[in-house]
Amino acid sequence: MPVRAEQAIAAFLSKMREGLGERGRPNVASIWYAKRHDDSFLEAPWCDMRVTWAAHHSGNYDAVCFGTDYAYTVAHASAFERRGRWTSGTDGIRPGDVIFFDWNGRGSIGGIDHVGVVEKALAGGRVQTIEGNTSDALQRKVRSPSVITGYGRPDWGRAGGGEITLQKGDSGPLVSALQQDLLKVGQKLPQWGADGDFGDETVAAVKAFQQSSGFTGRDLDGVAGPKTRAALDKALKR
Amino acid sequence: MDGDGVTHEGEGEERYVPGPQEDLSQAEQLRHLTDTGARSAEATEADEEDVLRDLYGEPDEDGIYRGDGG
Repeated sequence: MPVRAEQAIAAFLSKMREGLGERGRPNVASIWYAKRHDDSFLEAPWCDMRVTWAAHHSGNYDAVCFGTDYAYTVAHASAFERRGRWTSGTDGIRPGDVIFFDWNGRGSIGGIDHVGVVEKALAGGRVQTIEGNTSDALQRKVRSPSVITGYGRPDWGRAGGGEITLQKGDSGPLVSALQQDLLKVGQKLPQWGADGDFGDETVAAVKAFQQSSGFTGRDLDGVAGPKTRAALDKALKR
Repeated sequence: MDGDGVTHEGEGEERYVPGPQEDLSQAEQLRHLTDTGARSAEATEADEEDVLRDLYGEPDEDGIYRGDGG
């Protein structure tokens, strides 16, 4: 698998794990979704809103959602099917795939009840998933093929879209790439280097970069959001 | 039903499937949402707790498996 795809999957899964155990409504995903569309989504079933939120916040919005916000699982599965990225059942399933369930086991897209993301493919077609709105919480589950309608394979080659925000506590390849970029533009990470963990040293380096880029006030926050990312991309081109 | 999709019915449930060229608006998505959250909480695998414990260690006091799984 291309490195870019591996990084995209790691980032997507990292955002799905974020907030494991979050319970109730409204929640991070439904508030974000409602702000983009309608307050009615605040208290609505949120399993697919959580997938859309994770895709958007990991830079995989185009790969997972094809530029559309999804709350309705059937519409999301249909979008995968229209693009030739739908597989019925679990053959070939792997981490990062968007998995759709039908509690009545009818096997058709029209019967889909629920959605999650595959974290691990297990033996016998079983999968371990992360799912929002399971007992109104974000949880890890183990699922049998008997309730799996199929899965959508995100178009990792189209990874991009959405807004990635990296901050203290984040880790993984996206953080490592950020740290390498900070070093390229002259910032210092003397103790830990580009280790992939967003700790105090990285916060300080981001703040120093923000200051050198003319950021002031609340923008001097040590968080690598879209504005900081844009400034960093500009600095890298100099 | 609006659009060019198809409605499937069965066991008391209806799901609207968008047509080949149809991307539902947010209002349409909202209208078709059905909450099956309680059903999704049910374990479909008798050994679910064992599998998750093997992968991620003991759950927290709320029953959430938060481990990083190595």
